[in-house]
Amino acid sequence: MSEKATLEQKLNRLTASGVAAGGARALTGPPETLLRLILREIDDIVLPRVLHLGIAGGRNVSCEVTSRRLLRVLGKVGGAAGKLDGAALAADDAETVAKVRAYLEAAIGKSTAVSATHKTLERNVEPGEMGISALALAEAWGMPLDGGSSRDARGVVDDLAAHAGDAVLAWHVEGGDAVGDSTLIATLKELPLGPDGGLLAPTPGPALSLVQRIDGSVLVVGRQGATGFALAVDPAAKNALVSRWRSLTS
Amino acid sequence: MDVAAQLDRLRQTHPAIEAAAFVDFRSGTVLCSSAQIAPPQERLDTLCHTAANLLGGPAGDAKSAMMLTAQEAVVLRRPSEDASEALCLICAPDADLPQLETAARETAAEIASAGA
Repeated sequence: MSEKATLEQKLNRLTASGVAAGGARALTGPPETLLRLILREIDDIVLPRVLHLGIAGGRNVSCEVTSRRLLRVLGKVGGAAGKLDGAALAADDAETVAKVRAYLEAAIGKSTAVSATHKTLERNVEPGEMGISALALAEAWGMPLDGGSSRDARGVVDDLAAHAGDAVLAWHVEGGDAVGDSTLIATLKELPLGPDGGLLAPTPGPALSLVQRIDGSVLVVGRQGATGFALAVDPAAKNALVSRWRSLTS
Repeated sequence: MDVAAQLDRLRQTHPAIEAAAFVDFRSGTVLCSSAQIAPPQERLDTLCHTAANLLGGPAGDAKSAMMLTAQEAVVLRRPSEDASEALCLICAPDADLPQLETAARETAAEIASAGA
């Protein structure tokens, strides 16, 4: 992804999440969305910072972060997950990754809003402090940092459309929106998007099929979660689209 | 060079290809295949079905197609626009698809010219 695209994405993220007076960012959404947004906050931090998360209901936790890596989580959280409070995070292993998720989930609870602020970390980061990268957490949790939710077909289509720009001529999400040339939309809506339609692999999990028709047009059919989607794209963008799909679903 | 030898060569040149087959997708017949470990017949039958659906199914007549999942990538190519046959490659999920598409196109063209 180009630097310009990354910057635009971050600006869009800022706009979408809302920045309140004093620099606090209002993260909103269901708990899983909040978890993903917190990961994105961590992934945006390069210099040593403390990310404070003020959670609706009065809980507060802090994350020490540097170089997009989470060093520690601090703050009282109930249950076994609370044992992670203040512990140095030093490995990307599955157990630690799961503990971090459990800690943040316990902190978020059923809240749908988190206020995020950060300030300089007022201690030195020791050379041996490895932490866990936001990318490793995102991959382990199935939450792409720069795309839509991995469980949301619309999020994937939005990401593909944003990534391919004008090369996406039309798209349609099953049971949802359709955008683009009306003739192409009509074509896309006729395609069978279900698991028995024959265009997608019947195996579970994300699937994508591309058809380069004799008339030169390219139709893309996909499934994310239980929802199908279809796009008509410029043939020149086919490889970029496949590459993007792989990075979103790998 | 016969089709079987072309499939063998294709697979040896591109290690990401786990199996290659030349099928008549309209009749659902596997004409020729090449694999280090021969796929079960039902897998080849499914491949024919996939080729029929993607190259001549609800999306209209197509000259090439791909099907991607977390487990594999399938690349399909017709030797010519009116052919009922297709070259089918079952590949590793992280295979270099542009490279394999080029290889499939070239091999399919060779098969077409040999048969002409």
